Amino acid sequence: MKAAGRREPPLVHLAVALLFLFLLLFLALPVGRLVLSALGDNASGHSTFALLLANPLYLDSLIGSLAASAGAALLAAMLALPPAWTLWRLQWQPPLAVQLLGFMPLFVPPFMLSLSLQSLLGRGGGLGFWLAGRIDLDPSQWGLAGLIVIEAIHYAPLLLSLVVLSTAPLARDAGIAAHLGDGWARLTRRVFLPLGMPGLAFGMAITFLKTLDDLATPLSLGLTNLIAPLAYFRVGTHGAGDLVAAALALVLIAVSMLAWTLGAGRMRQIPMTWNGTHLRPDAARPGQQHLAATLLAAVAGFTALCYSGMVVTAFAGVWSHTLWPESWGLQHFAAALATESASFINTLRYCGTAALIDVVIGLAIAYVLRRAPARRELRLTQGVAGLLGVPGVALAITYLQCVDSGIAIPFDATGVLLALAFALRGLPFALPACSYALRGLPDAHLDAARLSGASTFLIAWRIVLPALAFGLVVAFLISFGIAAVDLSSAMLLIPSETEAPAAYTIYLNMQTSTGRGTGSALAVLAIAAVAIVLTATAALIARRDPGAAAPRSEHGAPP
Amino acid sequence: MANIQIDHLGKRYGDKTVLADFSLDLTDGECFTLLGPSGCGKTVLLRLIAGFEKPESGTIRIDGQVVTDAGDGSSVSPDRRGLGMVFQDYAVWPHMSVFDNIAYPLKLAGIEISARRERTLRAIELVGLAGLDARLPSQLSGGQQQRVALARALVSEPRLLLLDEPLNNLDANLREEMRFEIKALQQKLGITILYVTHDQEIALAIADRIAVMDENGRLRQLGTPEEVYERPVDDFVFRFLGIANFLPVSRRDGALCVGDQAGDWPSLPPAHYGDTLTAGFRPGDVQLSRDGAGLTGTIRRASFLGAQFDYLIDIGGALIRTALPSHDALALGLLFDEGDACRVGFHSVQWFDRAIPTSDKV
Repeated sequence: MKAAGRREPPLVHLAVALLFLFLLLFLALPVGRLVLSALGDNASGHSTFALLLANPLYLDSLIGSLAASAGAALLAAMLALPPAWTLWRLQWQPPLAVQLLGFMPLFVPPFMLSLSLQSLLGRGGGLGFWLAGRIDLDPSQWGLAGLIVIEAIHYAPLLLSLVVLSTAPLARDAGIAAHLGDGWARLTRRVFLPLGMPGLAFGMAITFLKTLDDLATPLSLGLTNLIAPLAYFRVGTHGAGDLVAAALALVLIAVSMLAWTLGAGRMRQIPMTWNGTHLRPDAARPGQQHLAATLLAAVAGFTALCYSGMVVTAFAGVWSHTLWPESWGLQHFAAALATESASFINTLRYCGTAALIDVVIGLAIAYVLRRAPARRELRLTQGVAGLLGVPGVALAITYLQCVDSGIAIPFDATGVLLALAFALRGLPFALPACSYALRGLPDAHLDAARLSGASTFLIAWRIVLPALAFGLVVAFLISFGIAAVDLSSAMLLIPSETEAPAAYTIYLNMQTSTGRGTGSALAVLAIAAVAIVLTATAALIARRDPGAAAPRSEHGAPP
Repeated sequence: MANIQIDHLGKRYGDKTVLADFSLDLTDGECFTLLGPSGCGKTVLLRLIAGFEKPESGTIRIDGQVVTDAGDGSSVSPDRRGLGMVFQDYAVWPHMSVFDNIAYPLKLAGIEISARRERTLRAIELVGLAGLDARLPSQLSGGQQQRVALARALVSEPRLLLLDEPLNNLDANLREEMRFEIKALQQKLGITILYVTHDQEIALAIADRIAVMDENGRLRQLGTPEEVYERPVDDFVFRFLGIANFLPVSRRDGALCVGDQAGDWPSLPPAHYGDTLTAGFRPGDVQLSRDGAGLTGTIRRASFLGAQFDYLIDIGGALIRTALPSHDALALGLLFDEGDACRVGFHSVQWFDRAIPTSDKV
C-alpha cells in the first residue's frame, strides 16, 4: 500500500538529495561535458561529428556494430522462443534454481564463450583440428557472423528465462482453454506472444546493448571495425582527450538510448518491477514433466558443450594440434591461484565498493519509489532502468575525459572511477532487489516497534536490518556480479594491469597461448562460483517463502 | 482504562484535508467503533491518537493529559501514551518467535526477566496461543498471527487499545469468531477500545457506541448501535449500516403516494417535511403478502438463501429487496416466482425530506 502524503523524516530528504547529487556529479555532468566536447569543433576548426560521418571507416563500424547487436538480439530470440514456447505448451515451469541459472549470462562475460569455442573449433586442437581440411568451424574466421552467433548463444538462456518468467503464470489456464476447444495456434497468438513480449523485449534489449558495448569478445575474434573497439583504440593511441573518441562514445550512448527506449516501449510490465510472485511451480502431468525436463537438459547440454572448450583447456596439460589433450592435470588451477590471486582481491575491491554504493542508493530509490505516486514511480523506475542505455565504454571515456581536462584528477589512478562506473551500470539491476527487500518491511512493523518503545537505533538494528538483510545481500551479489564481468569499463579505467579485476586478468591470460590454460582455470572457477551463488540464492528464496510474513486467511495453521 | 478527548482536530496531506475540526469523546472502559468508508480518515485519526502523526490543529487528551497539542506543537511519544495497537496487517515481526514478539515491549520497558516471562506467557494464554510460543509467524495462520498482534498490544497492560481493521484479512468464519473474542476480552479486561472499521456488521456487533464518518472525514452520527441503526440522522448513515431500500414518495391531498398508489405506512413523516419525500427501509422491514392492503409490486428475482428468501420487487419502477424468513414464507404460502404480483407493506420506515435516487437495476 502506498503511503503517499505522509510526512517524511528529514533523513529521507537528505538521502534523496544525496542520491540526486551522486547522479548529477557522476553521470549528468560528465555526460553533459562529453556531449559538448563531441559536438564541438576540433583544433582545425572542423566539426568532429562531420569528420566522423565523412569517414567511411567510422560509418562502416557503426553499421557493423548495429548489425552485430541487432543480429545477436534476433538470433538469441530465435534460439530462446522455441524452447520457451514448448515449456509453456507443456505447462511446466522449471524449478527456481534452473530459472536463476538462466540469468548466468549476466554474470559471465561472453568473451569466455568466444575463447572456449575457439579452443574447441579452432585449428590448433579439438574438433577444429580433427575437421581440418574438410570444414572450417573456427569462429574467429567467421567475421561479424561469429560475433553474432557467440553473443546469441551466450544470451539465449537469459531470454529463455525471461520469457518463461513472463508466460508461465498463465500456462495452466491456457492448457484449460485448449482443453475446452481453443486452438494452440490462437492461444500462442493471443496469450503466449503478448505475455512473453515484455520478457522478450527486455532480453533482446539487454543482448543488443551488451553486444554493442562489448569490447573483449570482438577483440578476441580479431574484430576491430566496430564502434566500441574503435573508441577503445582511439583512446589508446590519441589519449583520453581525443574528440573522435568522445564523438564515438556519444554515438554509442545515442544508439543505446534509442534501442533501450524502443525496447522499453514493448515492455508493458517493466521487468525491473517484477516482484517474484511469478516464481511459483506449476503442476504438469508426469509425461509433460519428463518431456520438458529433457528439453531443458538439451538446452543446458548444448550450452555446456559450448563452454566445454574452456573447461577442457583448464584441465589440459599439453593440447596442441591433437583432437584431445595429451595430458591432464590441475596445474592451471594451481598457477591461477598462485599468480593471479591479486586479481580476486582487486575484484573484491572494485566490485565490492560498487555493490555497496548500489545497495545504499538502490535502497534510497526503493524507499522513494514506495512513497511516490504511481506515475512518478513509473518514471523514476524507467529513469533508473535507462542507465542501461549508458554503455561501459562510453562511460569510461566520459570519465577519462574528465581526468584529462583536470576535473577528476584526484580520482585518477585510484580505481575510484572504475568503482563508480561499475556502480552506475549495476544500479538498474540492484534496484529491483532493493525494492523486493523493502517490500518485506511494511510501515506498520516500524510503527509497532515505536509503540513498543524502541529507539531509532533499536528499530534499525532489531527490526529493519533483519527484515532487509536477505534482499540487500541479493542486491549486493547482483551488483557485484554485474560489475565483475564489466570488461568494457575495466579495460579503459583500470589504473594498471597489476590492479586489474579478475575478468580482465582472465581475458589477458586467455589472449596468449601460454596463459590460456591459467585463464581458462580462472574462468572455470569464476563460473562455478556464480553457479553456486545462484543455486544457493534459489534455495534460500525457496526456504524463506516470500509470502510467509504476509497475513493468511486460512483457518488452520500450516504444517 | 482511559478516556479520550479529541478537540477540533485538523489534518491535511498537501492540498487534501483529511480531518477538519473533528471532535470526539471516549469514556472509560467502553468499546467505541469508528465506522466509515475507505479513505474517510479513520486510520489517520487512529495514527494521530497513537502519536505516529501530528495534526495541523486541535488537541488530544488521554485521561485529561494533553498528549498532542497542535497549538504549541507538543506531542508525547507513542510509547508514553499508554496505548496498545493492532494493525491492519498485524505487523508481527517475521524474524521473531511468538514469545519474542509479545515479550519485546516488556523487554524495552526494562521488565525483569522472570516477570517478563510470566506476563508474556499470561498474554499468550489470554489469546489462546498456549504451546505455540516458540513458533515463527510464518508457521502460523492468519488468525493466529492476529492473536499474536493482540497479545503484543495487551502485554503492556495499556489504558487504551487501538484496533485498525484487524479482522480485514481473515475469512468470514474467523472474522465472526474473532469479533466476539475481542468483545469478550474487552469485557474481561475492562480496557477502553477504539476500533476502526468499514464493516458495519463488526461495528454493530462489538461496539458500545458507534461514530459514523463520511468520505469527507466528517462525523455524521454518534450513538449506540441501536440508535444509529434504528434512527439514522440521514440517508448516508442509513445506507452505510446495511442494505437500504428507498421508495420515492409524494404527498398528494394528504395521502403519501408511490407513483399512483397510496401507501399504508406504519409511521408518518414529520409535519414540517415537504411534499417530495423518500421512504427508507431495510429488507427485513418489508411485510409481504399475496393480496390485501399495501403497494402493488412484481417479483423480479426470487432467491432462496437457506434461512431466508431474498426477493427483488418492482414497485412502480423502483426496485426494492426483501428478506423473508424461510419458515414464514413456507407457513404463510409466500413462495413467489419471478413475475408474480405481490403486495408490499412495512413494519418500519425512515422518512427523508428529499428525493433520493432509487435503484433501477436488477
